[in-house]
Amino acid sequence: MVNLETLKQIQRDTLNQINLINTEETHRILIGMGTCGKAAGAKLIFDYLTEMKREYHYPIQICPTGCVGMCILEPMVEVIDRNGQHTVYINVDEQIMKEILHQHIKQNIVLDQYTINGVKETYES
Amino acid sequence: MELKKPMKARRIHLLLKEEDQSLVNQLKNVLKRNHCDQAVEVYCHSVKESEKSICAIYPDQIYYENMNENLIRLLVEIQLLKDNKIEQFELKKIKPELKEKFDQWDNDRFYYKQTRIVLRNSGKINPESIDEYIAYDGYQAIAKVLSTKTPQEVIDEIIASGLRGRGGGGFSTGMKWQLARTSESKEKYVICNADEGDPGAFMDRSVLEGDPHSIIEAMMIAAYAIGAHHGYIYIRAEYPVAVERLEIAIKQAKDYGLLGKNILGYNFNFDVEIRLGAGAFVCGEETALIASIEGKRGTPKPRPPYPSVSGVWGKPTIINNVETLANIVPIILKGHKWFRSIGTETSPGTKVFALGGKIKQTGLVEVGMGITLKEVVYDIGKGCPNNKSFKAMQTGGPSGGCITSANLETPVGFDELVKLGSMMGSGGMIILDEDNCMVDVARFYMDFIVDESCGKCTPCRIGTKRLLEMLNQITEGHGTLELLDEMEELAVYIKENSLCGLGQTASNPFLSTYHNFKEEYIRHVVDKKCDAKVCKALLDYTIKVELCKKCGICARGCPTYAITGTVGKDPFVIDPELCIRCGACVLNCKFDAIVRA
Repeated sequence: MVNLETLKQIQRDTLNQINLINTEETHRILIGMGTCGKAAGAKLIFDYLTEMKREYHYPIQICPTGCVGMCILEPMVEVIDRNGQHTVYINVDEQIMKEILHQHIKQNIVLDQYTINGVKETYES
Repeated sequence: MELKKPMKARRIHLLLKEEDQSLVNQLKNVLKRNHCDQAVEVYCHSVKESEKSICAIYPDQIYYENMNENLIRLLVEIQLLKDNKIEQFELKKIKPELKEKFDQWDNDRFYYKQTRIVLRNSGKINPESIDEYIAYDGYQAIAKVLSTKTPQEVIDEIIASGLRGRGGGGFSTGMKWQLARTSESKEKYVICNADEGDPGAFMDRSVLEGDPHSIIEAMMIAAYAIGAHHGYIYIRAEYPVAVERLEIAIKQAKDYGLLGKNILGYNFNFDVEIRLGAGAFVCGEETALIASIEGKRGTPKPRPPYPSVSGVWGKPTIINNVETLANIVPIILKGHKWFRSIGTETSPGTKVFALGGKIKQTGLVEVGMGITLKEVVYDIGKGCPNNKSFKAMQTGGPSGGCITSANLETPVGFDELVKLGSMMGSGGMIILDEDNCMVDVARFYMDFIVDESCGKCTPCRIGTKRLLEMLNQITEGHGTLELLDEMEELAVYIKENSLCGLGQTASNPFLSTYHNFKEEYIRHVVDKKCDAKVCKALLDYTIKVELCKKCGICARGCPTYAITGTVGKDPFVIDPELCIRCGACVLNCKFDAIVRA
């Protein structure tokens, strides 16, 4: 049973974990998994990431999350590193996720061509 | 022809002085003239008492100051098109705090012109983890309420904030709570209305999927305020992800002792139960919803008595929409003054809209009230795709109405939209472009209403059915001017004589399209033409003799053998009697020789 003190304690601990302070993980990966994301295939990416983490012990924190609001760009994957740098990848599939793991997570190279800034006119039908 | 190098995508952020605001439109015009408006996004920011007008170009991070008409022209022609700097005007040393601000704006530009209160945690936390919700000040509001506030103080705070129900009507939430509080009863109930049925609306679903704990916490606060110990979340079974996450959230809260007896060590008990709805539109109406929770057939009852006096099981009940509840926690934490500072005088706070239809950036947006509809469509939604022109905007679902381009300057607000003959509704916003036929749109919504009418009262049951039949007659080319008058009379009759909100607003789709697009209706009934080329029965397919190559491909693809001619000799002709207007020939013809009119 939590009371006011334990509530504060949980808040402090979880914030440290979210901000990757003193954790084994080096990156926090948010996957948009609302209905819009799932419909666009986010579940596949989530499964792929969990599989990769289990198999190769990538230092990542996988966090399924709700809708960010840009349903047309789903599946969206947001990578946050220890410096608090946010990188948002859009229209991600397994192949792109693989590249993100290899380049961004392992070598800290941001894949500009897949980010929300790099791709232009994606929503033009 | 000289081939042009594709231009690099750029973002221009403008920070303008009060008197320089007109430069935004000038910049947009110059961009358009130079055909680079597709590659450049323009964002205008306002900062109180900004000293200079500054322009920042991203991703290059080049800054210019003292913006004027001349510089804008140079900026586009030299900086953007030729990629050369304009040395003499460049701002070489920008103040670090200003640079930081521009960087921040550039990062946040997806939320350009948005204010996120309801969606504050969506996309940021793991909705299946109570710890992450707690990390972002979760369950702090209920702790604050239990430890420092009396129930009456909570209600006073909500009344002072001016929060209005986001489900459609816009009734004051605090007043609703006050009524339930003053009703004498041992048992009281709190209901969260998550029965979101408007076609094209998905705000409540996203909130529940992204941040379920905020709803549970808000229900706890509401229960404390009115003196209830039990709550229901009425959600449709068609939202499996939301239901699953809610179940997880409730279980986690129970494990932590945040639901149940003696919450956080205080003398306050509360429990939440999920009730699944079968997806009937009428169950979003509060009396029908209560009947459905009690296990009865979901049909509305005449009011009064209002649910605040006699609701579930005859006990005082408050029913709040998901989005309304999502506003409660921030109001308690930050106070009513903060909430009042966002939005307008009569409609404080924000509104979430589900942008859909013919718009480039479909999705969820949360904007402060008072922003103009134009900004929502063009700045946030980025306008209609494929260079089509905007025709109308449908808000409020089947109960709402259409807003034409003439009224796009209207600020978002409950009363403002009602004045236009539409309503805020739950927040679905469907954008229609020139390819949409308004008669067909009215027919679609009327079809939905006929399906969803519960059948209890006659005006709604039979009236809407008749109205749909008449709309069908028009789209099939049997309309007359007398029929239109008859329809208007019937529509007003349904409006005035129906029992519940569904029936009283059932004829809105017809009335609002009819009033705003009368010429289109008249063209349908008098000239038997559909200019948007949607109503099949009113279309004519003809083959242009001068363009026909006599190849016969169209004839081979025709399912009714309506096209005749001789390959290589006679041009082909369509027999209008046999033609079923399927459009297969138009797709098959390689020479665009078949015209649809």
